[in-house]
Amino acid sequence: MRGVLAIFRRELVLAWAGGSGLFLPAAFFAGTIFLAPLGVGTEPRLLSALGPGLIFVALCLASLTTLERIFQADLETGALDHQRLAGLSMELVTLVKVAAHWLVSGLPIALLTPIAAVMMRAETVSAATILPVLLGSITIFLWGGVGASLTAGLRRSGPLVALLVLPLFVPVVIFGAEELNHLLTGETFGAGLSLLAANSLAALAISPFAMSLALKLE
Amino acid sequence: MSEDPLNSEFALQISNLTAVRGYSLLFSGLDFILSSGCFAALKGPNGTGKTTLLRIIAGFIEPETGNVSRAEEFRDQGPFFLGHEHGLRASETPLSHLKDWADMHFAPRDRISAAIERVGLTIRQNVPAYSLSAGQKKRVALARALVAPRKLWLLDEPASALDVHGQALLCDLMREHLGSGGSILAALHDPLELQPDTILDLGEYAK
Amino acid sequence: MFSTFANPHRFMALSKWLLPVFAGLGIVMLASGWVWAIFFVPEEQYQGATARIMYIHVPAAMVSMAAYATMAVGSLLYLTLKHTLADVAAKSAAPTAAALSFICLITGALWGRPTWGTYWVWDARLTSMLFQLFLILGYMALRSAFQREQDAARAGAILCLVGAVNLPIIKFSVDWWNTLHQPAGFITMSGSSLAGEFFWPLLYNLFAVMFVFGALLMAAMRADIQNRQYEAKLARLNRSGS
Repeated sequence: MRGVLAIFRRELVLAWAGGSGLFLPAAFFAGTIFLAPLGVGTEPRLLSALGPGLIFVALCLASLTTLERIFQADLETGALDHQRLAGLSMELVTLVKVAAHWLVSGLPIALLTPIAAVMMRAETVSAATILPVLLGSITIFLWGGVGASLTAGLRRSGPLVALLVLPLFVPVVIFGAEELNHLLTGETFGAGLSLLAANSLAALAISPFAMSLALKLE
Repeated sequence: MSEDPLNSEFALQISNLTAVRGYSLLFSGLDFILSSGCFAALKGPNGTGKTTLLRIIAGFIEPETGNVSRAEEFRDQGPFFLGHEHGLRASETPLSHLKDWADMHFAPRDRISAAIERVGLTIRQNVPAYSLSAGQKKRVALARALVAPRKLWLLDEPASALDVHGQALLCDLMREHLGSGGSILAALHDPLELQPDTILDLGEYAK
Repeated sequence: MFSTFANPHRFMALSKWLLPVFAGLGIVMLASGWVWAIFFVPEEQYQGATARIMYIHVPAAMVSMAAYATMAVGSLLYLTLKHTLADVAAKSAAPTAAALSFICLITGALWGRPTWGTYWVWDARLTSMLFQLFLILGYMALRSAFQREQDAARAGAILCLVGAVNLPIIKFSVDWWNTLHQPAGFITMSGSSLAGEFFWPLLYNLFAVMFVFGALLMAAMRADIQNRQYEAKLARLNRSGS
């Protein structure tokens, strides 16, 4: 456990030291949301109908901004080689890296959701609004991690990662936007939340193996 | 890659190893045994697969055929690997890097300050890697072996980027490692001050 | 059992005569199948002659899914058995899978125009097919980004399998979403039960497209194997020459 915690702490410190990596996805998310009313108008009913879907699309796009860096820097500097020799399971190491990345890029987006919902003129905004985006972002970052691991050895892989992972984001957008719509119109939790959770679990079960296998590429 | 208890004097045993790069065969039918406490120099012209062999032994690449068995290391860890890449991220400092290194390898942290002093980086221990020279980064890499000791050292051109003092330090560290029963396989172009016990010439195995 | 077919020499020998057979059967059946569908099958009760596009649309959809399944099986075998022929099969199935998905989408849109009054209505099946096409395009783009064939094979196989696991989830989510958002009075594309007079020509056309796919797959695999053998020979020559 000490070894895995060391990698987790190192990832957090490096993300913090990287500076922009911390706020970039959240800022991108906010910027996307703020642009929409300028394009479609400020009619409250239109905005509140558009809100949930837009929030999830913005989440997907925002996650792509820093995704490619999860493994690339460590692969380029050779740090990943050393992590492989530390006797830790690479499934766990990759999962920890994605978790650290999610904590600095995904969690801030989820926390911004109530603000985004208010600006999209949602009827009822509560702390529960965060939940669908929180669950959805976990899945998005896990599949994103798979895309990042597959392209870690490639230069300028950003657009490629986007093409690889966007189809995998489909269920999250569907379940998430539906559930968020439920919550923002004052209803209680619906089926979307359990489907989102199930989808997250599937991603959690599969992605570590895919990532560790992908990083064996030489 | 577990060890046969009867052959515990072997640090490394390679049998019938074949490696390819892309479509071309690098070497084939490679058999080699490295005993504990021995230093083998890995030689051969450019492109004969010295780095590839080291990466196969470390377990990063799977060979086409053959197998590699290594002496068991602490907690199933791999050998100490010193490659071309220094393994430092730009914002890491020698001290923070070695602390993470110790934790990652379940090694005590109290060896760190002695290791940093040994490689001569005490006054630079809090300088981020982007301000360190290539030689200084190499010294940090050497300090890792002192923080979390391993039986087998795999060194890929260890003397590159090191100045005269750095090379002397490298040889001292290698001598101490061999003295304590460790073994070393190092890819070398220019001979070190330290004489190898055996030479493995990959040029002989090229097709 | 697998290893007997995994030998490229055996495959090359087998496909040498199987390829023309598949190609011939495919072309003849496709031509006759279309003639059957266009001139001899009676008009559909509600949609009239436009329903005849089904004989291209449905086989393309089914065979494109079969082609993705081929890629997934090839990828799985490559990752587990490390046999190159499995990777060659996965790689070679991708362009045809993409083309068939594309044909399915285009014919679906053309069929939608007279049926729904618009080219695109976010029908559940078409939407799933759209994302399958994206997965295949991603697979092809990823493979082409790598210089070395082994790297491309490993990365492509992992992506293909991740996609194969996700495709049912995507299909389920799209179906679920479709039931929530389906407009009233919506006509589904193909009736749940097809009368025999429509079923047999459809089955015939399905087999025709399967033979075409088989022929294209074998042709692409043969070309890829010959290309790899050429590259290997070139590498040997370069080595002995230097």
